[in-house]
Amino acid sequence: MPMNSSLKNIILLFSLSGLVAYGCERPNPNKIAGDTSAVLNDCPTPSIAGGPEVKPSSGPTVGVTSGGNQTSSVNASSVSTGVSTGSGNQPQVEKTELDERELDYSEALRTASILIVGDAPTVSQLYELGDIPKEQQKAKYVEMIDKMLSDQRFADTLVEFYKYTFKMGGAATTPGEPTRDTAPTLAAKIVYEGGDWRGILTQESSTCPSFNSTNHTFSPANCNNLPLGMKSSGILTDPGVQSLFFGNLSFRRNRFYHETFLCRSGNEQAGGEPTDMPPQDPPCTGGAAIPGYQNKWPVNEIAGACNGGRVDFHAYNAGNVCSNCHSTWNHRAPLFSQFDSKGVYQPLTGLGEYAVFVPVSGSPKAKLSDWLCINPATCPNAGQNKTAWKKVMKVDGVETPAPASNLTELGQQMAKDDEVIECAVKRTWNYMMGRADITEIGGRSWVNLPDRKDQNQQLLTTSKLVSLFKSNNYNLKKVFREILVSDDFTRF
Amino acid sequence: MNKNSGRIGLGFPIIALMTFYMMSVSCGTVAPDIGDNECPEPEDPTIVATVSAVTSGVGGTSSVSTASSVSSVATSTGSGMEAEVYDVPMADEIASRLHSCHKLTYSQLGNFLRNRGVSVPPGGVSDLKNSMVTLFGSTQSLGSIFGGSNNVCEMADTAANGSGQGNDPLCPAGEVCFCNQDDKVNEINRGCLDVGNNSPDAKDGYCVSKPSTAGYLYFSGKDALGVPKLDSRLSEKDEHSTASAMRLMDIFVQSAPQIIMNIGNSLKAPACTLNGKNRPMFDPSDGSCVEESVSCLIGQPATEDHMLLCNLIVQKANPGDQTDLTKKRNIAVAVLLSAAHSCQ
Repeated sequence: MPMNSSLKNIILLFSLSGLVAYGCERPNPNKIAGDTSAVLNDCPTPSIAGGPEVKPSSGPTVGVTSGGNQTSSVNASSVSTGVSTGSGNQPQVEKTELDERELDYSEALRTASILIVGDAPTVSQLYELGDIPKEQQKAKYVEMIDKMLSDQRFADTLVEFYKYTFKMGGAATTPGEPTRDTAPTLAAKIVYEGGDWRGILTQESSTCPSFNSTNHTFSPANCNNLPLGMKSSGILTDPGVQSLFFGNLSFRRNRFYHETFLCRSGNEQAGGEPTDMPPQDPPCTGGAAIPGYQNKWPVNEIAGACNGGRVDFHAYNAGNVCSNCHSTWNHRAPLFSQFDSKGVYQPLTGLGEYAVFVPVSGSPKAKLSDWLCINPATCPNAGQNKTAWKKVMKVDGVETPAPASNLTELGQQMAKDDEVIECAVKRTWNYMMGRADITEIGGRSWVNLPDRKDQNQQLLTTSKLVSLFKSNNYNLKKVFREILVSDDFTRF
Repeated sequence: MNKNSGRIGLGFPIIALMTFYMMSVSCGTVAPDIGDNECPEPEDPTIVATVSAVTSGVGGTSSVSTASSVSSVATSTGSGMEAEVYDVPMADEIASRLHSCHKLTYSQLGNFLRNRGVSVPPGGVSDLKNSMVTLFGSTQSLGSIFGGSNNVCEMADTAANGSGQGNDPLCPAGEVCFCNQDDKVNEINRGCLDVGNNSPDAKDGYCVSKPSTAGYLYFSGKDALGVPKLDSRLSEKDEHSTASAMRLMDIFVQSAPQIIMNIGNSLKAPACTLNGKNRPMFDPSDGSCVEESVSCLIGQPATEDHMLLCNLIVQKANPGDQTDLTKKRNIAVAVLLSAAHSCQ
C-alpha cells in the first residue's frame, strides 16, 4: 500500500533527527568475533578539544538507492565545523577515534613480533624494551623491528603470507599435478631478500624455488613447464598457479591475477575497467547499445553470439551486464590459456586451439574467437583485436594503453600499473593492521589512507607508501618497516 | 585495544521504524557496551554525523570513498589570525588506521606454544603415529605426543556409523580413536568408518588419550582453526569463528599443565628465558604468580592488573585441596592466554 506522503515525511524527519542526535549505528555484536568489516560512521566519538561550544554544521543525509548490480556505500560527507572560541590562540581540531589511541610500544612489539617472526616476543625482548625510559622506547623499538626483519623466521612468515595471499600452497591433491608451493615461495623469496617486488611478475628464470622451513632457506630452481627457449614471467608462468586455477576459458586464472594484483574482487562490477563514459558501440552491427554497459573497451571487440563466439559475452539483463567485466577479461584470458590442467604450456593446435575448454556442448577446446571478435570482415579494427592487460592503465598517474601479446609483455605491463603497485602496498598495510583479505567480496577490507592535512606531519598515507616503495627499487621490506614504525601501528 | 568493527546495515525502512527506539535508548544506553567508543557520550553536544549514500543491488557490495579530504574544521582564534585548518578523517579512513582483530594463524599458534613448553608438533607432519617430530631438542613419535596406548582402532559402531563387525578394535576407556584425517597425499583413509568397500575393517586409526592433549587438539584442529584444505583455493580464515575460538581456548586449557611444568626450563620454554634463567609460573615460596612468566605468556610486560587477575584466580583455591589448587593454577594460565591471544 502506498505510504501517505505526509507520513513518509514524518518518518524521514524522525529518522534524520534520530541520526543527528546519535550520529552512529548500533554497536555490532560481531565485534566480539573480530569482524573487520567496519564501514561508515561507527560512532567515532566526535568532540572538539578545547572548544566550549560547537554547532553541528550540517545534519546528516542518508541516501539509499537500490538497483543496479552492486551495492556501494559512498561516503560523501563534507562536514565543516566553524568554531570561534573568542579567546586564546589554541588550535582546535575535531577529535575522532584515532585521537583516543595511545602510544604503546610494548603492545606494538607484541603485534609486530607475531606478524614478523610468527611468535610473541621473548621475555628478554619485553624487558629490554619495557625497562628503558619512555622517551627512549621508540628508538629501541625501531632497533628491534630492524632485527626482526632480518630474522630468518621472517622468511617463514612471508611464505605463509603469500600462501594466504595467493590462496594456495602444499601438495596437489590430483596425481601428476605440480606443487602449489612455488608461487608463494618465489614471492616470499623476492621480498625476504629485499629484491624488486616486480620480479613476482617479470622474473625470467629461477621462478620455481623451494623453501626449507627447518633451516629457513630458499633454494632457487627453474620451472619445468615451459618449452625450450621460452622465458618465465614470474608467477604468470607458474605451473602451480596455472594448474590450480585451471578452468573453462581461463577465467579462473584471470580472476586469480585480477584479485591478487588489483585488490579488487572479480565478483562485482568493478571486476572490469569501470567508467562513467563507456563507448556506445552496439555489440554487433545493426544492434542496440547495451544498457548499463560500463567498461572502457568497445563491447564489439569481444566475442558474443552475433560475431562467432560460442559463449555470448554480450548477454545482459536488468541486474547483470556480462561485458562489464568480460570486455577486460576476454582481452587477458587467452594469454593464460596455453597451459593445460597440469600447468604445462602447450602449443596451439593446427586449428588454433588452446589448452582450455569452452563450456558448451561437447566441451570443445577454445579458440581465440571465443574471447575476441577477430573476423576481419565483420569485426572492428579489421578483426585485429589483441590481448591486453587493460585498455588503459595509469603509469605514474598518466593514462597509458596496456597491450600485451604474450605473458612476458603482460608481466611488464602489470609491473608498471599504478593500481598494481598500490595494491601491493595496501595488502601489506592490511596484513600489518590485522585486517581481512582485501579482495573479499564487497571491498569490506579496503584501505583508505588519503593525503590530507593533519596535525601529524608524519601521517602515513597510501601515496607516501607507494613513493617509498618506488624509491627503494620496489623493496617491499621497506614498506613493512615503514608501517611497523608508523604512528598508526604503534597506537592502540 | 580498539578493534575495528563491523556495521549493521540498516535500510531506510528499518531506520524509519527504529527511529523512535533509537531516540529513546540511544547508543550505549540499552545496547551492550562491547567495545571501546561505541557511542558518543550522551551529554556531548558536538556530534557530527557522516553523510552516506548506500546503493543496494545484485552482485556485490562496495564502499567507495569519493573524497580524500572529507571534512575540515576551520577555527577562528579570536585574535584575528586564522588557525591551521586540518582535515577530519572519514569513517573508512579511521577504520583503516585502527588495528583489527586477526586471529593467530595456525602456525603462529604452534610457534607460540612450542616456545613456551607445550608439546605441539610442527606443521607438515603426516598424522601417522610413528611420524617422528623434533620437540625440545629431541625426537619423539607423534603418537607419544598424543598420549594413550596408540593401539590400532576404528570408530565404534553407532547408528551414525552403521553396524559393523562385533570384533572391531575399539579403544580402551580413557582413550579415543584418532581417525579424523583424510590423507590424500599418502592415499590413506583414516575416516575409520567401517562402511562400504572399507570392510572388513577400517583399522586406520590409533588410540590417543582423552581428555586430549594440547598437541592433539592443535594437530587435529586444522578445520576448526580455519586452515584451508589442500587445493581449496582458500586462505586461512582471518577471523575467529565460534569453532576456532572454542578450539583455541580448549588448546590453552590443555596447554596450561605443560606450561606450568615446563616454563622454568630454558630448553623447553626458550621464549621465557630472562638473563639466562627461567622462572617458574608460580612462586614456590608463596604460590603467587611470577611476573616474568606472566609476561612471557601474554607477550607484553605484565601490569598490576594482570598479576592481580592471576593471583585472584589462584587464591580462590581451597587451601587444603591440592587438586583444587592445580585446577585453579591451570585456569589462571588458560585465562591469561585466552585474554591475550584472541587477536594477534
